Amino acid sequence: MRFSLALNLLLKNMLLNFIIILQLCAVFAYGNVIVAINNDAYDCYNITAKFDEENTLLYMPQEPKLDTTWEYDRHPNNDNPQSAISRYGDRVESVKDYAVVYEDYSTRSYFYGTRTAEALRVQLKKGKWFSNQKSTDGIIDCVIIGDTSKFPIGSILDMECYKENISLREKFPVKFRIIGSIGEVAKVPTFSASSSEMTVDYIFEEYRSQKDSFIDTLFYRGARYQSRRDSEDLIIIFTEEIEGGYWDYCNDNSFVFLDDLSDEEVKSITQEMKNEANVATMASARNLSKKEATDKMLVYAPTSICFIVMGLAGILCVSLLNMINNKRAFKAYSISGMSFHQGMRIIFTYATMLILIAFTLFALLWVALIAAEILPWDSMAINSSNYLFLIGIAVIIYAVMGASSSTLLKKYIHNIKE
Amino acid sequence: MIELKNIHKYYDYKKPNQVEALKGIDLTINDGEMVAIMGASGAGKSTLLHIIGGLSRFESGQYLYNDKDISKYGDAKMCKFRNKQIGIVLQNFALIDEYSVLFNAMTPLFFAKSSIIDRHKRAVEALKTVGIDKLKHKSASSISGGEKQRCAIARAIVNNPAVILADEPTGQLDSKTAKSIIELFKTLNSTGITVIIVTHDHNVANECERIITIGDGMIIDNPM
Ligand SMILES: Nc1ncnc2c1ncn2[C@@H]1O[C@H](COP(=O)(O)OP(=O)(O)O)[C@@H](O)[C@H]1O
Ligand SMILES: [Mg+2]
Repeated sequence: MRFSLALNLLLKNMLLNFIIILQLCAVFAYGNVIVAINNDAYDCYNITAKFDEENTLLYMPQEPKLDTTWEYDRHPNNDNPQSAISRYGDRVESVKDYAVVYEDYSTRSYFYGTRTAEALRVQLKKGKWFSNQKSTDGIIDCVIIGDTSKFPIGSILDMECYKENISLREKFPVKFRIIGSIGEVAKVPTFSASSSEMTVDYIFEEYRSQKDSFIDTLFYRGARYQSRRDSEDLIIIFTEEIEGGYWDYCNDNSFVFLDDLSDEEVKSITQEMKNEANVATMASARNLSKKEATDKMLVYAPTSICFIVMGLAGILCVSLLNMINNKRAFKAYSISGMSFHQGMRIIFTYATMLILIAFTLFALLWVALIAAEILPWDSMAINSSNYLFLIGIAVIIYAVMGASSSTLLKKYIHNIKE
Repeated sequence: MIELKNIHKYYDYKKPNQVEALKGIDLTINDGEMVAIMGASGAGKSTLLHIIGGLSRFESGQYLYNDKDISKYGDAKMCKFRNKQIGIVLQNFALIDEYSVLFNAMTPLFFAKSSIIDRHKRAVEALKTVGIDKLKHKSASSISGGEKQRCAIARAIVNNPAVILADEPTGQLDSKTAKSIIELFKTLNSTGITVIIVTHDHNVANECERIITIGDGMIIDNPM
């Protein structure tokens, strides 16, 4: 009953319904772009949400030189970094990286300390993030950036890992188990850059597994490794328990966890560290990031609000017009024994049809925009908020159509005569 | 059997512009009767018919349909009652112009339990009964006034109701067509359907077994 009568409503005023569908489609598309830009703007802010912000310090003894991406200026008081930070022991965690070779593929691996790994909330496309539990079989759990059809979850990689300076070609064997994937585009916390105006965004670098040749852009401290192949098949590996040390790397930019100390102690340690490095609290870096993101989104706000309000107002108008157009149909149904609830069910089924058609059209449009590379990909991130947005818009459309239609439907039912 | 006891109906109840449309109606209509309701414009005829058809509610009194108290029914049950028991025919036909004659004739079946095939079969039967089954694929806007009213009657009888309520069914038709429509009602009545017709037209009323006259919301004349 519902379906045929709803379909009749859809087919009766094709032009009007087509206009609604186009309008819905435009709201879906524009809204999704904005949500994706918003996701990207707040991405780093959200990934770092689990850090104990006030008691985590960003300790940054080096800054990249302006004209290169892998050379750094050291802090003038920090020429002997090992001793400078080593007194704080396992409170200090830097992001260590290794070069790894797998068959013909060369790969970067990033090694996070347990507290960093615990606090980071990188969104995974598949699988899960590694836990603090050590695997009993000696295989190292890892999360990859890359194509999981090539490297499926659960697969084990036999690799060789370069120690220390890669040019020495000292290798040792390592086994990795892939337990998760970040997808093919990802923000990777490398913490290789820093700034006196530190935002958390500096901690991350963005990778696309297909396009960027990260071997060249990421290898820092001057060591460079020439891969035998082009970089398209590369994966980046995160792990927390790789054996072997890179102790001279621990003077790199580091997270310092002071969460069990009193405010006084935190203050004095901060003061002391400021003598040999740039220091910021996670809180200030996150706040700065948030402010930048908010400023960015504020630019879009007026047009977005106008567009969405106009879109919804249009949908409201066209839905009212449609109801007025269908006055006689609903009166005929009412004479025939349709109750108010049955009438509303027909209207909601009709709304669902509109939404589904609009959504299909939007999906096609979206795929086309991606194929034509028209969307501003570099500043977009698709995640669950996009789906939430679509569901939210659908709910609003139901509400708008439901509210406007129900008033008219009641009137029609109670006034059969005219 | 339809029994109305001391029915009072107000529009805009308890508002300053309140109108008392029915002022204590007592009326009994037996199964299989063909009754005309006459009266001046604004007398309350349509209001009465809507109450009998379960299209509107009333403020006080009692409505028994086959000894059941209809006024206690909720919205859904009332609509089911109308769908099952009552066929309604209006002066302006109340068809959906863009849809086919066949679709118009089958609308009540969408709100009753019936399959697509069943709907189709019964709508064609109803159109045969009213004599326009050849027009079934035409759109409702493209047929003549008399044919429209026949289509509306087909819709009214498609779910085999016990009662047909017609509110000035010949008001927009010429006298010859009007006569044929009344003949159709008489034929339906002869199959046992109760027919209640509101009309201005004495020629129409005189074809009925009983003429009830209403004035100012009250029954003026009701020969038994
Ligand atoms: N929807 C309505 N709202 C307010 N008053 C109404 C409404 N419908 C009818 N009335 C009033 O109720 C009275 C009876 O109307 P109605 O039953 O339509 O009369 P009839 O069909 O005999 O011409 C009239 O005074 C009319 O103005
Ligand atoms: Mg009337």
